Amino acid sequence: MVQVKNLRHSYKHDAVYAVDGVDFEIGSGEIFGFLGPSGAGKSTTQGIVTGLLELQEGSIVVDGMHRNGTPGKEFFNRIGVGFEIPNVYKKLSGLDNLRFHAGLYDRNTEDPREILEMVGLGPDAKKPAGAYSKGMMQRLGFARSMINKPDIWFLDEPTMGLDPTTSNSIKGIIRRKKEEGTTIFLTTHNMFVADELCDRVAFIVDGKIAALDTPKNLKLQYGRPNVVVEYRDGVDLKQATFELEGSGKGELQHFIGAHDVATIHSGEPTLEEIFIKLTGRGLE
Amino acid sequence: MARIGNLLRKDIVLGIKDVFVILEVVFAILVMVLIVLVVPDEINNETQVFLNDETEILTEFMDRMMAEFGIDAANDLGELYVDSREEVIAGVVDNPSAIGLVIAEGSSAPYSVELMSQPYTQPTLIDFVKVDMADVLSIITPPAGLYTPDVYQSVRVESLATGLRDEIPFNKRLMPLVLLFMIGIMGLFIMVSVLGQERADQTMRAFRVSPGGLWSFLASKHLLVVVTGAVTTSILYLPVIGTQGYLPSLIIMVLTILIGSSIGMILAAYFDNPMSSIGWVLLLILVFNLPTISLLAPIFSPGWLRLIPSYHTLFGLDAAMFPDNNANIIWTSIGVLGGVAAALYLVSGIVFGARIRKEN
Repeated sequence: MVQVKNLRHSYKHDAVYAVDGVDFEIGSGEIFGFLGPSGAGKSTTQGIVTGLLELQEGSIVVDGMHRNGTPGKEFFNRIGVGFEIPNVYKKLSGLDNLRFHAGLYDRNTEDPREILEMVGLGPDAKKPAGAYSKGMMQRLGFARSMINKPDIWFLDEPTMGLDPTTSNSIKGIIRRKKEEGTTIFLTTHNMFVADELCDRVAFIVDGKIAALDTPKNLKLQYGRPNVVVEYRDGVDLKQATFELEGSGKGELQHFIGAHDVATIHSGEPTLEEIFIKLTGRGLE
Repeated sequence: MARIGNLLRKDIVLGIKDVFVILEVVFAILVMVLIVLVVPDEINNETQVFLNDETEILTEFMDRMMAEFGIDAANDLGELYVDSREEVIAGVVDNPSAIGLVIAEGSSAPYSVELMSQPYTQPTLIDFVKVDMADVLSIITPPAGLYTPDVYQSVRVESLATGLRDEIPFNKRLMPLVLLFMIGIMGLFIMVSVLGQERADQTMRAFRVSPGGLWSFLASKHLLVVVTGAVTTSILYLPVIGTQGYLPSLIIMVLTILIGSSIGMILAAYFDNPMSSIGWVLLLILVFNLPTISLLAPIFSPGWLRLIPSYHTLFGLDAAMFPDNNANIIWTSIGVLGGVAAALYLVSGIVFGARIRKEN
């Protein structure tokens, strides 16, 4: 559905590239995660693909159509973009914010009231957005991004700053949209969100993609699965770790038979650990 | 059109809550009340002449000449005849805009004229009085005169329509200036304010990834500024001037506001809020102020002054409000302002678009 090839972008039109030779493809109905620390080039890539930033070098193909210059109305009618900062009109009510944005599209849009209910803002629909908490504004921005029932949905840190319940509700909406066939480009530095939601993830650092695969494959390829055993030693509770490769399996079996085992946990590596392993950098 | 309507509806709702829009409307009402109720209709700043003519030669001559035109020289020309030199001095001391003349018989010439003026009296006025006195006395006493009577017959005389301006109440004469600075320049502030707000809240980013289109977005902002300006122009104009010249004045104001809002758009491309652009705004106000000198003192009207759009605003408004067989000034102003407004509208849109496309 979306093919990006050799994307390069320099803000000052010099040799310093914020995005430097990025390639990826996103299939229809897929959730594609873009994972990287701040300043890695995530938002720049999203900015170029959504048409906010000019396409300097490389190519972008959406549904077989090559991008030339600024995208046209047809493209903007099909996409939804949720930003990290909840960019809403603070002097307008939540409902008026959505009504205004719905009026910009040439296609069938969501009912603003229904969508506010969906993100838990139904009771506050008529309050000025400026009176909303940060989390409520975040949800309003999220609702705005899907007002036009987008075919391709770009989301930048959609759960940032949300409480766990609201965060789960937002993740539920994203999953539901995927099931309805929406293609989703998810930019985040939250490895748990990426792991939970994404079909495939790309690690980006210093403007370059360091790895791209399904979370499962990345863990299998770069992680070393292990088992953590908690056991009682007199009155103390101690821990022992066994790798599930080589002689580790036999040692684990022997250890379980010889000790008073309290708990056993699989120690699958996290995406963050793999990211650090691959790039030598953290995700914050 | 539906999209522009949607944008304008949103901009009006936001504009009603914008501090500069509120200020413009509130100040328009306040200034209108001040002009109608407080500023006097007449302010007499004409020069008075205290005249002591011991020889009575000038007094008799003036009375005879003026009587032919039905003018009471003493009352209508601002001249006060007094009986002594001391009364002339007292009159000049008591009246800050007065000058004094004492005419006596001379020793080396037929008459001597003593001119008394204020310390701040313009040298040009003093020179003018000197020449005028020499001229008048030469006419009265031809053998000693500067010119023979046939000189005056050979001079081409044109009838000038003077005096009409004096009949316009002072508070109304202020209107072109008030409209330009209250409303024309305010458009610039409002545009910087509303665009700055969109950029600061990043709502513009959300708009840019919609099919709305930047030109519709900017057109809606211009419309907001123009509608606000047209409403405030009417609030000020109709109670003070009435319907006389309302339509051409409104067209001139709309074009001036469009010029102001276009300049504001260019500033908004570089500055996030009105305060950060205040240096440029003050500089522009200073430049836009220059043509007021020409309106207040028409003798000062160098060609370069006409390059400043506010020159055409001021003279166009003046001509529309106080018609004096001068419709050509109105249409010239509308033509010049229309051309400048159209050019700036395009340039500001291009500059703003180019700047904004560099921001993620």
